Amino acid sequence: MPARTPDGRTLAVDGSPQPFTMGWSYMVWAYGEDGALRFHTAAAGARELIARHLGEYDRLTVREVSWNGARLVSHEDPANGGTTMLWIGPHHEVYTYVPGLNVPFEAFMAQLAPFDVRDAPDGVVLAPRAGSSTRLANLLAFNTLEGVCSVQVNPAAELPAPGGPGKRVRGGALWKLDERRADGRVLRSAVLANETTTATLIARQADDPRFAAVADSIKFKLN
Amino acid sequence: MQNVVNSLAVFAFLGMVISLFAVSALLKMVRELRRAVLATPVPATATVRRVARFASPDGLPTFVLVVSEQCLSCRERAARLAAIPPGLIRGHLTLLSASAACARWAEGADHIRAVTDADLLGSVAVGATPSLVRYAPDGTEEWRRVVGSDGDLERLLDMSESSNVSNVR
Repeated sequence: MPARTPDGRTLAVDGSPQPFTMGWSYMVWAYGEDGALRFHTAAAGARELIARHLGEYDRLTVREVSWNGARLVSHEDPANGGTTMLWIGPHHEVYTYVPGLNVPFEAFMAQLAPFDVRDAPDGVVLAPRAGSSTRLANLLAFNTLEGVCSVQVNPAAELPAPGGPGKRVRGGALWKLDERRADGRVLRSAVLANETTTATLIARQADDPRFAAVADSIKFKLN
Repeated sequence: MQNVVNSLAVFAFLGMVISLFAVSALLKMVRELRRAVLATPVPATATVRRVARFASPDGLPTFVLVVSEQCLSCRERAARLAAIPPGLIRGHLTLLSASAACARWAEGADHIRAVTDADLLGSVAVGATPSLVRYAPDGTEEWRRVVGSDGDLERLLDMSESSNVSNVR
């Protein structure tokens, strides 16, 4: 199923031998009049799950209010003196990190105000409002194939492709890179570039035949 | 022939000079119009909101908790507000909403006035719920804050005037 990216484009993936572990998570930068701001989007409740998984949820101060039908939640972490501000809609959530404690919700509302946030089952879109002089750039989509590899997709030309022609595979040109770490383990990654995307796959096990099969068959398309 | 071309060139040059004058006159008009628009006095809007209904004759402030029905945290804050023993807070406590269901959240707490009034809710005009708004005895709004947790509600209700936050952004 094609997924909607936060800047309103469509990310289509086919040829994967196994389904993705989860829905796509995105990171995108919003460039406005007063600097740049990073937004993450994911399935609703994902940030809380991550915080619980990392074991930091219990020390967080959680606040919640309701704003135009969506939930605004703040996770205030005294350990690093920062606050994660979340907009949680019916399907997806948008969150950003604000340094400081006791950050008022109004600050986050002001950050979201230049956007028309539209949540739908196929993705949440941050549409800049007319006259807000804000634009979204540097999109990054993230997902995993359980037990095989992690997948990171960037729009083509936002990430430089390695030199050389690469190996011709179904999804474009493929480069493989092995890095030997200090403990002797090999970290194998693959870069898959085509006209619309540059994808980086990082294998869980370097010699996993499933990873080679994924790299040869998977195809990403962004419009 | 040469004479004709020469005179055409001269006339074209003259025409250009005249059109430059015309353009500068137009620009001047635009500038004057813009100045006139900027100089027009904007009708004075009240920078401080005033709600006569929240004025109280006894000189005590009024705390209004604005809640909406489809909001779990509003329900929790209303329950916390209802659990405050009478007389602890120097001021009147009011629960404002647009539906009767919200008014029932504070049932049993007689010192909390539950107001169900969509028009009044519109004139209070809060963005996010639950919000706590404090009104002076004469009905002017002193500050408003979004209440994200029970701890915040307690902190805001105990807050002295010195730590007020401006209500106008």
